[in-house]
Amino acid sequence: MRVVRLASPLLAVLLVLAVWQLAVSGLHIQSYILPSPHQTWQALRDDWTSVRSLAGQTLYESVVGFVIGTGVGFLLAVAMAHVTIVHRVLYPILIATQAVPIVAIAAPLVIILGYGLAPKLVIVGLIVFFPVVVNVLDGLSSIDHGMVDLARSMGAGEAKIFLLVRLPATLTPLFSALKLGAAYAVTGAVIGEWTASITPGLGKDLLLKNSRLDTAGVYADVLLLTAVGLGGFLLMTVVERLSTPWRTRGTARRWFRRSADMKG
Amino acid sequence: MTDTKLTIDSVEVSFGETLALAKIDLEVKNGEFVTFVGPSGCGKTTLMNVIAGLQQPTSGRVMMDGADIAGKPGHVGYMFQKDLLIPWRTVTGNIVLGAALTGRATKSDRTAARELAARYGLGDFVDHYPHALSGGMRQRVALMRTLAFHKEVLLLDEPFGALDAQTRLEMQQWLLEVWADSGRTVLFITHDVDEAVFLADRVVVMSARPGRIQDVHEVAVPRPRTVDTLMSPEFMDLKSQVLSGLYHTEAE
Ligand SMILES: Nc1ncnc2c1ncn2[C@@H]1O[C@H](COP(=O)(O)OP(=O)(O)O)[C@@H](O)[C@H]1O
Ligand SMILES: [Mg+2]
Repeated sequence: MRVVRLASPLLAVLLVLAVWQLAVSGLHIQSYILPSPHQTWQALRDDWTSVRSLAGQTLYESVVGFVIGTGVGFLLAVAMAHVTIVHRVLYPILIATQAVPIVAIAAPLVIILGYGLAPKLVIVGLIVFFPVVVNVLDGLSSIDHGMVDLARSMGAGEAKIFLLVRLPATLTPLFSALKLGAAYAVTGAVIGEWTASITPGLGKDLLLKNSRLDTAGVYADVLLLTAVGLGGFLLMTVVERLSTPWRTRGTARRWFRRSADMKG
Repeated sequence: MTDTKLTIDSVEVSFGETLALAKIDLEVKNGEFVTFVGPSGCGKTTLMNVIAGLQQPTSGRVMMDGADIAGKPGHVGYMFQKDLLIPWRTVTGNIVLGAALTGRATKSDRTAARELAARYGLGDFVDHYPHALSGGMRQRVALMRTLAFHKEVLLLDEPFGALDAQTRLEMQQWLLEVWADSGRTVLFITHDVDEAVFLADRVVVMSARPGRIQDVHEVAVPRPRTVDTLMSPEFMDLKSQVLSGLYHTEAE
């Protein structure tokens, strides 16, 4: 079963590659319109050293923007859940930030923040923070009130109740947002590079190759960007499994039992 | 040690205009097992909430060992109608919840929790998460958590209400065993008259709108009580007394 579960996504990838290859060779599509998987792979290998460091740059923007965006989102959600006035004031503002087209605010962001890393981080952050806010708020408000009453009846203070009862209840919805965000962060970084950047990155590189009609190179970049986004998603999935074991397991992991015994 | 443990002294609770509890007076002896029956909505849970400190009474006091504990949480072990096990804590983690919430669950707390679980038939489940347990097991864990909170007074609000008849009977006998072992004072709510009489030293019958104590029945049936007790004439007799009191209330 485990083998099937692990193999099926691989199979899906192979299927896509096969259809792609068949389409290109069967329909005799010119390589500057649609390169074959093989040509794309070739382009990726030929360009590897430069593409790799560019990917590193884009990855860096994505990761830092993701961490800032999700961190801010989480804190906002906690503040909004606990202070009604913060909720009332912030919620419409947050909705408004989502209605603003990201590409449109890139230009004013550059005027304010310059062409460096900052506007790109803001763009990535703007994209990833909203799902975190919504989901964490949801998690905090859907807590079984009985659990909080139980904790209160035991004489627990609000801080302990938050740590042991409210916070863990947000993990499941939080990770739904983090998984989405990990994939979106790369998109954010690319938009940032296109609209608010003079420094190199994979997004910038893609534009350049496109203008040179280096289609295989463009596809190679797209492939790499996809891999980065997918990697982020998978990483979040793994972290989720490790940090919410009760959702997928009947018993606690062995090492966790020991560490729980030690720290209490 | 038959001195008074808990005194409910003219406790009244109103929610806005409605009077949920009207002047409740009751003395509970140390180590006594008192059950409460009454129509739904007569304020049984509200009374427990007052004793547990979750609900401030509109007037009156709840004295325990000479101190007024009304509206002050942390003095009694309170088991709610739902088991309220924390999904992300294992059986052990749930049993030590009280310690974790009020300070720190030490290694010895966890060892004690495992021993408690083992003593009462959950030794193989100490590292299980609640979702992997049956309804009866969950209820046991909830009760162990209440026990492990180390309070002399236990409030149990319809703890077996959701269980099937057979599991319920097992749990009742188990509870009596635990109670006999621990010597604690128990206030137990139920809507099942059999259960109320079977478990109790005294059965308190409450009436609704506003909630008040209507009758208190001494249960002189000898212990230990078994399934046979349920058939004995003295049990039947008491049960019919309690039932007629209840119906009298509901007919009004
Ligand atoms: N927090 C509350 N606010 C308003 N009314 C309440 C509240 N809690 C309970 N009540 C009312 O008080 C009465 C007693 O409720 P409860 O103590 O839950 O009864 P029981 O446990 O006997 O079924 C009911 O009429 C209920 O609607
Ligand atoms: Mg109730």
